[in-house]
Parts: sequence; C-alpha cells; structure tokens
Amino acid sequence: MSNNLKRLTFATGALLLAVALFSVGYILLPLFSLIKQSFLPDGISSSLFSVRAYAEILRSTFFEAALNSIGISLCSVIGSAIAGIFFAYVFHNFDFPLKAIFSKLVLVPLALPPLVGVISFMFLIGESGMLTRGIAALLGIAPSHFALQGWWGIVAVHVYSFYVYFYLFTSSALNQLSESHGSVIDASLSLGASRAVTIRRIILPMLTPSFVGASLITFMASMASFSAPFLFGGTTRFLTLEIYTAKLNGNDANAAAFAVLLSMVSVGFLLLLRWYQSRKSYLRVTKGSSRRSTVPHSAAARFIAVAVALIVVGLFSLPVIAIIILSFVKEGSWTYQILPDTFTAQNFIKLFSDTHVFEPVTNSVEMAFVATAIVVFIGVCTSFLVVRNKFIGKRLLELLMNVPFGIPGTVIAVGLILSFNHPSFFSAQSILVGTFWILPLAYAVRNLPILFRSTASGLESVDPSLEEAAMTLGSTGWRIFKKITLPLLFSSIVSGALLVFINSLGEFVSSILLYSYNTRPISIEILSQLRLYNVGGAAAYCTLLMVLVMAAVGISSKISRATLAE
Amino acid sequence: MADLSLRNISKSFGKVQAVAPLNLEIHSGEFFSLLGPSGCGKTTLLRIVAGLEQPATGSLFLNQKDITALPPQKRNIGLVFQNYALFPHMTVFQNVAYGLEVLNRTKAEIRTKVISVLEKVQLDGKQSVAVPNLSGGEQQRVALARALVVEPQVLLFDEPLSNLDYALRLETRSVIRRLQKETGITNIYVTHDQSEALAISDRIAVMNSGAIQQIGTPQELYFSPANRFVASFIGHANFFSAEICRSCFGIQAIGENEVLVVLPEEISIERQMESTSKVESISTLPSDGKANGKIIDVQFSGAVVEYVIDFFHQRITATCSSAKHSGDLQIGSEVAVSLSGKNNRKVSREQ
Amino acid sequence: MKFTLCIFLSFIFLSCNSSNKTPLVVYSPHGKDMLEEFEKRFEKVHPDVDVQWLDMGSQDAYDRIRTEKENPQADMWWGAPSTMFIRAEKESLLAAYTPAWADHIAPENRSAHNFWYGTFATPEVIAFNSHLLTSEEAPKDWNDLLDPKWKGKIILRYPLASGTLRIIFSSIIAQSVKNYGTDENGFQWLRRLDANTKAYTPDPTQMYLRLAREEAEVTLWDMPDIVFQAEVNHYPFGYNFPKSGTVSLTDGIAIVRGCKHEKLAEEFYEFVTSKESMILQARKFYRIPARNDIPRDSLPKWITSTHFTSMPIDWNLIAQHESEWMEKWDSEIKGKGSQ
Repeated sequence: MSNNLKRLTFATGALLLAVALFSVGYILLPLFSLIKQSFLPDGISSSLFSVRAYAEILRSTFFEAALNSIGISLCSVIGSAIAGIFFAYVFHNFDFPLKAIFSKLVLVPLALPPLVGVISFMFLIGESGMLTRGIAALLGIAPSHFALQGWWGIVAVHVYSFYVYFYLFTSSALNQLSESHGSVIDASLSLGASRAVTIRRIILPMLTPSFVGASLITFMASMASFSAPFLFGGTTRFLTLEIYTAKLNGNDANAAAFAVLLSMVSVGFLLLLRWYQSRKSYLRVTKGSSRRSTVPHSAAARFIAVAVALIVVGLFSLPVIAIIILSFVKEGSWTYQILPDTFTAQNFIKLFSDTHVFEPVTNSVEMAFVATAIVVFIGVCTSFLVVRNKFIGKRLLELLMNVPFGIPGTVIAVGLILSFNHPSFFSAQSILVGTFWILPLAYAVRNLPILFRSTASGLESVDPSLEEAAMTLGSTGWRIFKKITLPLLFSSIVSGALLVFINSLGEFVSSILLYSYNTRPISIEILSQLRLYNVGGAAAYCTLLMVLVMAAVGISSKISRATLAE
Repeated sequence: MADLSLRNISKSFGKVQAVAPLNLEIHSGEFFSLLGPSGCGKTTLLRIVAGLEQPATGSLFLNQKDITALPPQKRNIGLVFQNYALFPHMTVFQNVAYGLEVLNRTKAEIRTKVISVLEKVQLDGKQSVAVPNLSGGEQQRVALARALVVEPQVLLFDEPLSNLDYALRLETRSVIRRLQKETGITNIYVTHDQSEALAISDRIAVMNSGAIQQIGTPQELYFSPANRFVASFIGHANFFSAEICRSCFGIQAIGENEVLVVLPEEISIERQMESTSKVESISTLPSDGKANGKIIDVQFSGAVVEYVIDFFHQRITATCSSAKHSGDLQIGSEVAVSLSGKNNRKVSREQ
Repeated sequence: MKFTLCIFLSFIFLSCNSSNKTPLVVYSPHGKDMLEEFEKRFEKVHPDVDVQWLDMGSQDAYDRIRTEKENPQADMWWGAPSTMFIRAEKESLLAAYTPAWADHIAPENRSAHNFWYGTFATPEVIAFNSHLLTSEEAPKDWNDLLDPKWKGKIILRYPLASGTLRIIFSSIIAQSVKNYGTDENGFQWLRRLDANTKAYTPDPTQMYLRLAREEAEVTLWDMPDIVFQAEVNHYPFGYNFPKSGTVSLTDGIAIVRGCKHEKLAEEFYEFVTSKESMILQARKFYRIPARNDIPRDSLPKWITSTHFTSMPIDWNLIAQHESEWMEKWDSEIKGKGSQ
C-alpha cells in the first residue's frame, strides 16, 4: 500500500523529544563546540572569530592528507568487499564439514577489540612478526621485502577489522534473497542464463543496497581510523594523524579544523550513498514462503572456493592465537627468533597477584553496560520513530544517528570535554568531565550508529500489518511494542547491543582523554603495560579482555535463545 | 449488530486521490463486498473503516455514533489481512488469545473461547503449532479465528483468499460465509475477484478509480449493470453498437450513443457453411442467419465452454454449457451469431 | 531479561561504594611500578588520602591539563620535559610552589617564578642493539649518524609525540641558530638524518621492540630508560654518549593551577622529591636526581660512573620556537630526506 507511516501521538512525541534531546545534547552540541573551536585560532577563551585555521591547513597539508585518507578508505572498502562478499557467498552456497565452527570464526575480528587487534597485527605481520619471519625463513629472503608496511599494512588491518560488515550485510541479504525471492534465481537459470550471468545480472544488482550500506560503514570507519595509520602509516599523511599532530603541537584550532573537514568528507559520502540508496531497493519481505534456492556449482569450483575460504578464515584467527602465545612469553626473551622459545605463566601470575587487577575489569564491564543500555534505549526509540512514523526533521535525525561513525573517537572525546567541563543543561547543571558518566556517554555516542542501523533494518523487515493487526484487536501503543514489535526485533537488538558492548569494553581512543583514576578501563591498563614495555603483561591483559568478550558473546546468545524459547 | 454508515468519506495520498468523496450505508448483519480492480481504492476504504487511515474528509458512523476520531483499538472492528499478519513468534493459541488478553479476560475464559473458535474454523488440535509451520489455508483460518474471537461488531476482510489455491479458496470462502451467517456479524469484504464477490455477498459496491460505480445485490449488478465498467467487470459482457444491433439483430430501440449489453451466455451461435468474406460492411449484411462471425478460440473449462468470436473486427465471447457443446464448433468455424433472452439492457457508450 | 537487569543493577550498586578518603589526582608518565610504589608510601604516612595516579605520556598529560583548564581534574603533574613546563607556565596552567630544597638545584633546572622544579636529569644517548653492534662499531657522535652506512638502520620515536625527540631535534636547530645565526643548517642536518631513518615509531614500546627485534640497529633515546631495559628486562641494548656533548633534559614536577587539594599536593610534592625518595628513584627506577645535594655514595654505580659533556643549550629559545620548528620539520622534512 501507499503510505503506512504514522503521525506522532502523545507517547511517540515524548519519545521523539527524548531522542532529540540526546542527539542535540550529546552529538550536535559537542560537534558545535568543535566547530566553534576551529574558528577561534587564538584559543577558546578569546572571542576573535577567524578562518585562519582553515586557511592554514588548506594551504599546507590538508589536501595531501585528505587524498591519502580517502584513497586508503576506498582501498579498504574494495578489500573488505572482496573478502566479505566471498565468504558470505561460500558460506551461503556450500556445505562442508565443521561449517558451524568456521562460520563463527569468520566473526572473530568483531570480537577482537581494535587495540588488541593492532598489537597482535604488529607481532604477526610487522617486519619482525611471526608470519613475516616465518615466510622469510622459508623463502630465504630478507623480511623487510614483504613486511606489510605503509599503505598495504593499513589496508590489511582495515580489511581485517571491517570485512565483517560486508560479510554480515551480504549474508543476511543472500538469505532474504533465496528465501523470499528464490524463484528469481531459478527463473534466470531456466531462461538459459549461465551461472556467471545469473550472478552478475540478477544476484549482484539485488544485493547492491546491502553493499552500499556496508561500503558506507567501512568507508566512514576507515576515514575515522587512527591506530592503523598511526602504527603502519610511516611518514604518509592521513587526516586522523594530522588532527593528532596539530594537537601535539598545541594548535587546537587547526586540529579542530582538520576534524571538521574530516567529518564533512564522511558526512558527504554518507549523503551521497543515502541518495543513491533511496533510489534502489529491491529486497522486500514478501508474503508466503518459497523454498531456499541457490546457484548450482561444479564440484571443482566448490572445492576450490571452500578451500580458499577456510584457509583465509584460519589466517583470520591467527591474531587471537598470536596474543595468547605472547601472553605466555617470558619478558625480554623473544628478540631475533622466528617464534618465541621461552614460555612462562609469570605474566598471568603477576597480573592476578596485583590486588587492583579487577578494578579496570569491573570498570570496563560497568561502563560498557551503561553505554549499551543508553544505546539500546536511544537506538531502539529512534529506529522506531524513523521507520514507523513521519515527522519534521526525520531525515536530520537519521543523519545525526549515523554521523558519529565518521568522526574519530578523539574528536568525540574532545567535543564532549569542551561541552561538559562547565555546567550545562544537558548534564543537569553538573560538570561531567572527570565523572563516571562521561565515559559511557562517549562510548554510547560512538556506537549509536551500529545499533541504530541493525535495529532500523530489523524493523524494516517486520511487516507493519502485524502491528495493525494488534491494533484492530484492541491493543494500544506500548503493549503492541512490547508484545509484538520488540519480540520480533529482539534478535537484531541483541546482536547490535552485543557489538556495542564489545566495542565499549575495549575502547581506548576516547577513554584515554576521559578516564579518571576511578574509571580507568582495561584498555588503559593495557596501554600502561605497553608503555613500560611489559609486552607479556599487556598480552595477558588482552587475553583477559578476549575472555570477557567471549563471555559476553556466550551470554548474549543465551539470552537470545532463552527469549526465543519463551 | 451494527449499522455502518460512511458519509462523504475521501482520501488522497499526495496528489493521488485514492477515494473520491462517497457515501455508503452498510446494514446490520450484512455481508457487504467492495469489488474492483487493483488500485481502485477499495483497500484504502477498508483501512479507513478499520481506523488505520484517517479520511481526508467525511465521517464514519457505527450504530449512529461518530467513530471517525476513534483509534483502531477502540472501534471494535476486526480485520483479516491479505497476508494474514499472524504474529510469527507465537503459536496458534497465542495468536488467537492475543485479543482476549488485551481485554484482560481470565485464563479459563480465554482457553474456552479460543478452543471453541478454533473448532469453528476446523483447527482443533493445532493450538500449540508454531504459526510458520501451518499451511496457507490453515494460516488463513487462524487469522479468521483471531479476528472472530473478540466478537467484533464489524469484521473486515482484505482480499483474504488471494494467496490460496482454487480449491482452498472455495472451501475457505464457504467457511467465512457460514460463520458470518452463524454469528450475524456485519462483514465488509474486499476482493478483486467478481465470482467470489457474487458468490458470498449480500450486497456489493463496485469501485473504480476511487469512486463507487454501483451498489446492489449480486443479481442486480449482474443483470442490470449501471454502466459499461460494471457490465464488463462483473459479467465479462459484450457490447454492441447501435449500428450492429439494428443491422444484425434487428433491434431498433437503441440510441446512437448507447451500447447494448449482452452477457456471454445470452449469445447463441450456429455453424454456417457459407463464407462471410464477401460481406464488406454491416449495412449490406442480411439478418437472415447467414454466417457473420468466425471462431478464433475455444476454451473448455468444465461446466461451460467459452467461444471467442471475431464478429465484425470485434472480439466477442459466448458461452454455452458443456453438455450442449458440439464438436463442429472449432477454431476457424464460420458461425452465425444471434441473441437469446430479453436483451433490453442498454448503457451509455461512454464508461 | 530479568537476569540481565539484575547483573546491571548490581554493577551500578557496586560502583556507588566510594570511599570517604580525600583523593589526590596525579598525572604522570613515570610508569605503573614507580607510581604504585609512591602511592603506597605516601598513603602510609597519610592514611586519609587516596592517591589516584593516571599513568600517561607527558604529552597526554599536558593535553589533558590544557583541555581541563576551566575545570582542573588533576592536582599534580609529575613528569614532563622542562620545555613543556615552560609552555604550561606561559599558558597559566601551573600554580607556583617553592619546595624546601629550592636552593639545591641549578637555576636552569627550575622556573624563575617557582611554577615548576626539575626532578630528574635525563641525558640523551645514541642507543644501539648490542647483539648486532659493539660500542666501537656504533655511531659515537651526532655527525656519525649521517654516515650513509646507517641508511635504513636508524629507528626513531615520532618526534612530534615524544618530548625526548622534540628536545633533541630542537637542540640541534638551536645550535645552528647559535653558531650560524640561522636555523637552515640545523634543518639541513635533520634532513640528512631523515634520509637515514627507517621509521618513526608512534610510541616508545614500538621503538624498543623494533630495536630489540633487529628491525633496526640504532636509535636516539634517554640513557636511564636504556639502562633500565638492559638491566631489568635483559634486552640487548647498549649506548654511547655523543662525543661532542649531549643534550641533557630536565624532567620536572608542578602543581596544577586551580586544583582541588593544593595543600595535599604540596605535601606530595615534598614527599616524592625528598632526599630518600630521590635515592629510591635512582636505585629502583633508574632516575638521575636533578637535585645537587644528594650524597654521591648513596647513588648507584651506573650514575656515579657516568661522565659526559653537556651541550650548552638556550632553553628559552627552544621553548619559544619548538612548536614552530617541529611543525616545519613535520611538513617539510619528514619522509623527504632522501629526495
């Protein structure tokens, strides 16, 4: 039917008010502080408004850095797309032994906190990494010849961290395609089209919207990525690094101007893809069910595809293995050897003999919980409002929900500090800087887009006539939401919330600016160990963090199953 | 028992007028159908009655009470959806019990009512089955039971049978009809299938382009269509111009801007051996039973046989009962076309 | 659902049981081990105080103190090169305090207006991987580093993020200004160093790591840290003092302006800079005291046996121009030396 969107009622109006307050107070206001700072080159206490910072950065390094950032982001999108789509296709179309385990392994990068991932990458593919040295010894070439440095190093880290988005988006689209639109594949084949033609002309175009969504996330995340360029970038300029450098030099206005322009590039890309996506959407949940339909393949093709996929998936779990090995390596014993040879449990003994060891752990778990709760509330409300209702400013709200993804964590943290180091309406007239609340708030703002996207797309696939049916049966707003919408959305909310929780658990980019003694998270403890060159101790903490992440994954799937069974 | 009255109701989406201002009276206990091609506004009208859409103008009265501003929850009007809209995360029992739980009925009462309504729709024993595991026909009946169990004053159906196969359609439609007669609930039934509408309705409103073309009993619509649209939509009727009527059928009482409405079963045809190829215009044609048409298609559909005839460059259809079908009426046969019956329905040449 | 809610609520509950001790917040790059030691020692004397240290790089500490200027979170800033303190003093981030031992320190190692005082002397050295090079083979003076034979074998901290490297680079330019009246020769020298440099590492750990793991052979770093890594963690590190004289950096301490517990901060100030503390820091944590009244026989051998010539340096010139020079290095020299 034509137009099923609802006008606002009193209740949804109140929700909208809450959501609007949140996005104005914690997304828009910090951004505004940042913009303000970029126009005050003589410090925020002066009132001399000037575009000097912009003039300076545009004259010096902006274009070089922007070109590199955009280039690396596009490379990351292409690389992630190839890996993610390939895996999704293989896992969707073929059956092979231990598929259940391998399909879990594909998701490993999601569970690896970025900080841990970057550290383990260093020890794997850095010039003296296990993998690099191993291959060098096998081939008898100097490791410096194929160490993943510079561009390729960064792209490797990005692809590793971001291909999962493509994998997840494509898998769910493929499932939808074959379950609701399976007949189109059969139709194409019966019209005499070859496999290749069917894939190119039918399947790919129908999956395009999913690809666009995943590209957007990957692009924005790569633009905002700091650690990978920082560790592997060498002397190449990137926008996030320029922000950092300007800040190091005490030039806050230039740093803010870089951040503003970086956000503009990201938001521009977002708008571009939005515009493109709004014109094309094929996959709709249709009525009735048809049988699952896939493209047939020859035995040889299956074998090669599955073999390649499994080898790569195996490689993808190496970082986890590397960290675990490192946590057992005796401090200072691993220098010129390919693989470490002296092992000890000392790192863990030292870790657990520290009486304060669990403080950062409980801090992180607690803050991640609060952040997840905030994100779930705001994200679910917003997606409900945006998908099911019509109101003025809807597009803007949707945009605001996506913006934080394209902004580096440091920038969000600085924005929050600038906005809340004095009493403000949005902090109930108290000062948030230095308190517990500012950390979960920063985590929440950074991760809101993840949950918003997963919930909104989940909600889009819930047939609105279910809610209408409940209405005609006498049920009212809240009850319909609780009894019908929420249970149907539950799995997308849980999976989104899990991601938010994991990300918050290991977050360090904004934590490092915001934490205080009582709220120091695990990531800061890891950095602290690294600063003292306790690589083993850091790895032991990383292992602990991964155990926590696995516990979270376990609990969330239990919650999911329990609710399903109810 | 409820009278429903729509006064001056209209609705548009953007610039498209989905429903032109219209009035409609639906009587208590009536089985009323909205019939029309897709996009004619019938579903929108139904959703307005259910309260899922707000009309742009006009008001809606249920038992003389204005319910225009009431939300769907407070109208006590049930709706059976085209795609059933069963809650996929609930069992059959939970789906049907949902409406009663909303009304805060006791557990025991809910149980009795759900079981009794499931018996009525012949689904006893399926209470604990998960909805996605049911067949299409069963899902349809769960949807029906779910709407019925709260005893609504009016029950609305939005093309409820369009996803079922022919046999199930016939079966389910008789279940619907039987239940309506048993309960006496006022039913409004939206469909694009004229045979379905004719079979189960007390009265039908035929809609096209957002406007009601005619309201009447199935017989009235079938035998005295108000306009050319209704005639062709309801009866697949043939239309003959005044010129043909005069020269071929000897009917003089017809105006120049009128056409004669002839139902397929009112046309009789007879095989003729002589060719019509010499005939050049209608005016030269003798009305003496010479061949004037040619069969271009024959379709056997069980009870009746349908002939498609090329009649003066116009395609007309004629049906006769299968029993009377003779083997020499085949594709390519030259036939003489004549009229049987009263043939006094004339409608305007325009739609 | 209820289960999750219970966990959640219990966590909220747990987070509320804060103690009623007075917190003293210290920003410091001195590392977990040393900070924990002095937290325990200070709290033993002041049982009603809870020392809360935030272990972070000196640049991070400076950044935070600057961002928090309107609402300071820290009481103490323990550890940063003197040039950073000079800048912080100019930006009015510090509170003046005169410690009891104010007379026992060279005037260039303290603020003229008592805003900060030097704690440790950190001479910079040419460090090398002793598994690959002997002291004889390693570069022995600044200009040795420019020899083409070290091309691709030098690894440095990313200077913008490192107080140590900022000082070394700035000192070289300051020398050029002093000797030739222009910074051009200094930048020329840095350009040639860049040509020999394999990589700039984002943090010290990376630098140690890559030096130890033989990705590079030579670096520039401070002597106490190199000694610490070699003696405590047994990494294969050795060092040479540049023959023509080295840069010796002063690490300082200061109280944050507008802090919440100024009295307590002063006590902590005196406590960690007392003679006993300085000796402990020298023995256990490889710090060279800046105070000149510490008895030499109480100091470890690695300090007393150390002899080096200092490069005379105009610290105010550096503090004034450091940002500008580093910006120029970053935009005009970094990665372009070999072109």
